[in-house]
Amino acid sequence: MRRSAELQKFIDPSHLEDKETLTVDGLPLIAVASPSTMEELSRILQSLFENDLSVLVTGNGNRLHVGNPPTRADLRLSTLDLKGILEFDQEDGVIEVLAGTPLPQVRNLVNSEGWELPLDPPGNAPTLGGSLASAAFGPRFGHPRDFVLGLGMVMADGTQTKCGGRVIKNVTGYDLMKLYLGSYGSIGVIGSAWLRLLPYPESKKVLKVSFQKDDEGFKDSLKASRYTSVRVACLTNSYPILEASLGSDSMNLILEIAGDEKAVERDFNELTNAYRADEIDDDVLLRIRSNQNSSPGASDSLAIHFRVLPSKLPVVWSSLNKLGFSCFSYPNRGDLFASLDPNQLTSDTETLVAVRTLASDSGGSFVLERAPLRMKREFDVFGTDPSLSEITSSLKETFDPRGILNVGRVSGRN
Amino acid sequence: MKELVNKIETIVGPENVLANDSDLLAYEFDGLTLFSGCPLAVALPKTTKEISSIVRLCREASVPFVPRGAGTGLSGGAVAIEGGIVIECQRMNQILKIDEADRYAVVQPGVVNAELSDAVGHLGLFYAPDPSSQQACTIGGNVAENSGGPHTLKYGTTTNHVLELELVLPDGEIVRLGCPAGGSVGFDFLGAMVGSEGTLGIVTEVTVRLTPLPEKIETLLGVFPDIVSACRAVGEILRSGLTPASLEISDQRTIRAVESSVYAAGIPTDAGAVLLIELDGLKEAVERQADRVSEIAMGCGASRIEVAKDEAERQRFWRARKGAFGAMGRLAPDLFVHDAVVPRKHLPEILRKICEIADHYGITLSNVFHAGDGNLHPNISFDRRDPEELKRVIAAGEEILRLCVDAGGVITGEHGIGVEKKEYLHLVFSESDLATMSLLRDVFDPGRVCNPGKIFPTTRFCTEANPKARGYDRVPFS
Ligand SMILES: Cc1cc2nc3c(=O)[nH]c(=O)nc-3n(C[C@H](O)[C@H](O)[C@H](O)COP(=O)(O)OP(=O)(O)OC[C@H]3O[C@@H](n4cnc5c(N)ncnc54)[C@H](O)[C@@H]3O)c2cc1C
Repeated sequence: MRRSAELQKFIDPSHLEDKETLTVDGLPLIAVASPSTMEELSRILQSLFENDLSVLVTGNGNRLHVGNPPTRADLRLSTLDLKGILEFDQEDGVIEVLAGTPLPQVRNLVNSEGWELPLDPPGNAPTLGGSLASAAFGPRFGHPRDFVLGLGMVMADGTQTKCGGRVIKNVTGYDLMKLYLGSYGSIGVIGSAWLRLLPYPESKKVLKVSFQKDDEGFKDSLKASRYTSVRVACLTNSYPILEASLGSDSMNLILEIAGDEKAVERDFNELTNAYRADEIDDDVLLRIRSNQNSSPGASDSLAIHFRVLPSKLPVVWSSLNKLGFSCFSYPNRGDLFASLDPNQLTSDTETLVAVRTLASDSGGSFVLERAPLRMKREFDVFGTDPSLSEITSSLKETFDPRGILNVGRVSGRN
Repeated sequence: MKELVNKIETIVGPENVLANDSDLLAYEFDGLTLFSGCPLAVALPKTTKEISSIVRLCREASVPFVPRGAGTGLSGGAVAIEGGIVIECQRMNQILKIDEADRYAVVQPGVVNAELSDAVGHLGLFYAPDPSSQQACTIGGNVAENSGGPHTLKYGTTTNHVLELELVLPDGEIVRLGCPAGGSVGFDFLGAMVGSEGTLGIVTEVTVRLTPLPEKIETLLGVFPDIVSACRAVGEILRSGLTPASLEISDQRTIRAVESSVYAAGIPTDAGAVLLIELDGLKEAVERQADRVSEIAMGCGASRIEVAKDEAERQRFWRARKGAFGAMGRLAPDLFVHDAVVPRKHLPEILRKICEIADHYGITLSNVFHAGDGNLHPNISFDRRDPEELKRVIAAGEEILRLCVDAGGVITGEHGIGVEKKEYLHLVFSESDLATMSLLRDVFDPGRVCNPGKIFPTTRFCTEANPKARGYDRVPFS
């Protein structure tokens, strides 16, 4: 932790200030550098690199709870001033945006021209850069990897580089984009991105399907969520915040169907005929989205995101219930969110071993999205696969040779 | 070197090693006949372990190795340009698992693309990436090239469908990347591996997503007076908010070649261009969308729209499209299939300029391409024995690439850089972009033994990459 006065000889003071202390997993940060152009970002990183100063990169702070505890950071590098829409090609449905731009701003702009932004991560005005760096997603759209066409990056030594482009099909050179997405700022700082937009759906409806028994819910939810026009499917039972608004059925499946008007109409009719389903207000989608990010209970609760094969969801879900977790899931994608007050745990190790086994037995993976510091210190939150530890470390060392970017945060504590 | 070949024979059996000049002839090229390279030998392994052992041997002997599938690649990627051992995966051709409930399949790399869709069709599923070469090309080759196809517009390219890979790294180690449930934890090495053109390792097992077959498919053929109006129709269809499964254009020269070949579909040979439109989804939606696209196409100058009456007619339309490259054999002994991408709004203007370039160089050029993706295939028919013609072919090709890059496009959308385009990479990327890409190579293959001589330019370039071309012109450069 340093104060800006100590850093002024390295960084232009006009981009530097001390802010209220932000503590990330026990590491306090006071000085904040806030570049507003790619050049400034590049100059700042070059200077930090040359002087062996390390940073923690932040957007609007929505996903700072995800990651292993940082092992060093002299200051915080905020992208909040690096904002703006650089180009919006309304004809081709692509847009180029600077990293610090809040997604709601982008969404409003593109919606007004008949396009949909295929990024809907939870949180308070999440920035584009933070969402991409942490591969954040919401109930509607999956991992951002399918929608990012190009990235403007600044590497650890300040070099500006690009990968991808603005066109929707591209195999020109290695696909480095995939590595940067979800790398939590540990191998380069995302400065800007070209995104592919989707046509705004002609029609949408939200439905609540109620099941009286859990096994009925498990059996039918996958089938119901695979209707052609379903784009959100959220299965929940006893998930405290969400459930309060949904009533007392054993299980609820919230569906959003969207797209061609005739297709939506038909799916709506079929779903309401086949299940106990009612149309409900679409604000439930906002509640689902915010639940994904916050866990009921204590602020340092344990929240785990699983990705498993959809057919394994019932087993994983019931096993987690037995361990004391509350769950909700996007069954069509195999996403399951589980949370628990960690004070209820009898043994951290036993729970984590069980979690790891559940994920691997169900063809999937998990991330401890929230965990008390004691657990984060003991377990890699990404449940690292030991067979990949060598290439993981090698990638980090090659792209960030002096170890100055978000040190210790990613898998393998790199 | 003989010693190395002997050792490889002990791994895979002598019957699975080709080292005679006559056998090796078939491996000197891939689908692009412009670049050749003769390997020392070709190994035909059957298991991942065998591949790992061969790779270890090559590495110890500092001999390069080149993974190869069916050799249909169009950028010289599977050619042993620096010699060494070709490791051909065609004997690893088993579909290992089909999971209907979770909609995925596990296949060996030598499985032919179309065979997978055939194998899962009875379950109401298919494998979406469908390169026009799908009757021959392998899934391993598709992964390496991140192949697309006519249905990419709606379904995406290979990278959107690969869930897990087993891989032999260039040091012989065997790793698994990703998982059947999809999603990734930690660095997305799987994503970086797809499209890396066999330069970061050898794919030995692929888990792919299977997609439900649509309930209804409607295939329409719009006949246009010229290619520019067909391109305009593509723009209008996309702007209307529709996402057809495919939008494919063939120009008049292509139509004529096809109509005088076995792929003939009864397309009028006086048509300036045809636009093949496929819509799929729920019956009610598709029927309505078919009416809308017909209206748009007619509004853009189509003289008529034919709708495939049944599956046989649909297949006939598609045969004419997918057989187009084969039919071009009638025009000249050699075919240079270019592959560039432009922002779709520029298609009409770019197509017009491409025709001007062809006229200027006096070359025989035809266009058959994935218009919905902005992915052009200007195809040049020529005779490579005529050195003067070859020069014009290369010069015209380069001018076309520059044109596309200047319009904000890129130099390959699905065929890869390989040997063919490596010296053009600087049109798109700056030196620092390329230096960053080579960092990834350093991580996986510091010794440059895995498919060397591909992707990266051999010459340093003095021209700065054109930032405008990549749409990064608003972001100032250092
Ligand atoms: C008529 C015709 C039409 C075509 N249409 C299309 C199209 O519509 N869309 C499209 O995208 N492409 C198309 N292609 C190009 C080509 O078919 C694809 O690139 C295909 O994926 C190549 O597969 P292959 O098995 O032939 O690979 P190969 O040509 O043998 O190899 C291609 C590359 O993959 C690497 N490779 C092969 N196997 C492995 C492995 N197991 N592990 C790692 N690397 C490996 C090779 O080293 C090489 O770099 C077409 C080609 C032809 C001839």
